[in-house]
Amino acid sequence: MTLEELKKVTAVPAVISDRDGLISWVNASFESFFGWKSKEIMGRPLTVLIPKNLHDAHHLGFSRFLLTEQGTLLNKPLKLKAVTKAGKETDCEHLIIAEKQDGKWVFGATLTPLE
Amino acid sequence: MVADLAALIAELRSILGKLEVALGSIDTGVVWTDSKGRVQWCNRGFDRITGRAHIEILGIGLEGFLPLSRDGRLVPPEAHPLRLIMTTGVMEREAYQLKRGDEVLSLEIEGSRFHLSEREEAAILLVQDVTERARSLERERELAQSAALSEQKRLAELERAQLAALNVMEDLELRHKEIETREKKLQETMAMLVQAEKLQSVGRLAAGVAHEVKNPLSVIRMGADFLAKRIGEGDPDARQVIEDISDAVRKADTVIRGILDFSSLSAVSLKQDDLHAVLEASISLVRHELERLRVKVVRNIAKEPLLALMDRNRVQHVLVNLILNASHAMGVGGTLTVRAYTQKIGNAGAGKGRREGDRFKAGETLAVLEIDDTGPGIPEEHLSKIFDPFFTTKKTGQGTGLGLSIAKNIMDMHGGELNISNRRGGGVRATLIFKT
Ligand SMILES: Nc1ncnc2c1ncn2[C@@H]1O[C@H](COP(=O)(O)OP(=O)(O)OP(=O)(O)O)[C@@H](O)[C@H]1O
Ligand SMILES: [Mg+2]
Repeated sequence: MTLEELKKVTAVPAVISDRDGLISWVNASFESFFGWKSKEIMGRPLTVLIPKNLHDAHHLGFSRFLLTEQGTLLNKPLKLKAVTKAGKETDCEHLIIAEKQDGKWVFGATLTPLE
Repeated sequence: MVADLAALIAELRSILGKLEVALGSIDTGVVWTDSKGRVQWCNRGFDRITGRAHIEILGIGLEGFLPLSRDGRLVPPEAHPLRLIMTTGVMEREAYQLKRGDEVLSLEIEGSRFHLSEREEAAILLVQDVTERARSLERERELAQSAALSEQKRLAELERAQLAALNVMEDLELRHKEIETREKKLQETMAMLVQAEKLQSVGRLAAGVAHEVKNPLSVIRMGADFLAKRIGEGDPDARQVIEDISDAVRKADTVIRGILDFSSLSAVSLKQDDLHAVLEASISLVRHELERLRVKVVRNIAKEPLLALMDRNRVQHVLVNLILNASHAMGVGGTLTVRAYTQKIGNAGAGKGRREGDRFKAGETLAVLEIDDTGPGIPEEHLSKIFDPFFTTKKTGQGTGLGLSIAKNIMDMHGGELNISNRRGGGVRATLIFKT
């Protein structure tokens, strides 16, 4: 999947973030499932979608990727928990992609609810 | 400002990335759990041993995930290394076996418990896969046994055993080299870290980010302490590296704690206290800096106490900041003139030209403290910015630009005022107004 294709996804929640890990785009399905309005989640860190006890690992892994540009988790389905605006944790299948645009990394993911 | 922040976050990210890579290049599996034994982070070494990607095991209970046995019997929950570490604090190296698919791995596990904060505890386990070593020992034993079968055979076997021993030695040498390069890599990473002194400018990071990196930092620091203990006096080079890590992290930790303090400025607790005494205490706190810059302090102050409503420690913080600002602006050989007096407010509100006059009631008595310096003053175009957080004209790493914004915050919480203005005759006057 490319970012281009991701932006056309409507069936499942999808999200895009910049190289600083700040959310820059979500689709309508994301809005309805996670309870965030696109406007209010824009510019917030990805950690608002990640359970608290995975934050440390997220920061370390994210940082390593930016440094080495070698991802271990990209382009394959991962079963992980995600957090809704109301604070509910649900299992989702994450498919994470990364692409360079104008020399800067951009990250995208679909989060397919499993419940 | 936003660009600064982004740059600093990027720096911090790059430091975290380096640490991750450094920890990932160690053969030993490193895994850290929270107090409930749930995996918080592990390195690649641990991934290799368990045959699972770390992302799959984050948040999972380590005890259930790592079913260990000893001498062929499953270790009961209460004797699991994690449980021993959480109850006793440390565990020296012990041998275990782990079934992985059809294989049985020989592991050596040790670990230690850490306090992340008053209430949070964590455990770090170091897991070494010694299966290969155990196997070659076994092989040697078998060789020796069969050697006893016949004289001739024995000679041949001995020869072979000798070869094997040579191999083992070569192997050892290789491993030694490997360890050396790994250490060098770590050393380089850390040198970069320390040399760049990047962590110092982390002072500008927003509180949110500061909060999030606090935990990984303390884990790194405690991991370093732990490794230092383990290495003991044996290897001074490695020791030095580990000390450097601890130092750098400690430095970062102090800065981050500062930011957190700033963001959580709690309410002041006001009581009547002597402004003169607080002033003297503050001057004495910075006397080394005043001596170094040969600053002359002139006091226009009455002998008797000047009582005002204040939170003594906070006000001291404010005064130290103002005195240091003035001294740094003056350079060597300036004069600091302090004046303190009371003032009764007339009908028109406090003071001349103050817009927030209604903060004080007519008839109220105020205590006023003025600090004048003989520095260059503040350029007109900066006057509206000096109270902004992170506004500084000092070189990177020398000032956080938080001093005046914190000072203003504190005076606001006192229901008082802090004003900074240029004096007609040159230099700056800082005016503090307190309720009495
Ligand atoms: N007495 C003074 N004379 C001239 N300029 C001053 C004076 N006090 C403050 N300033 C200016 O205001 C800026 C902001 O001061 P502030 O105390 O907030 O931060 P800082 O002193 O730069 O950093 P830090 O307080 O962390 O050392 C200073 O960098 C300086 O340019
Ligand atoms: Mg200052």
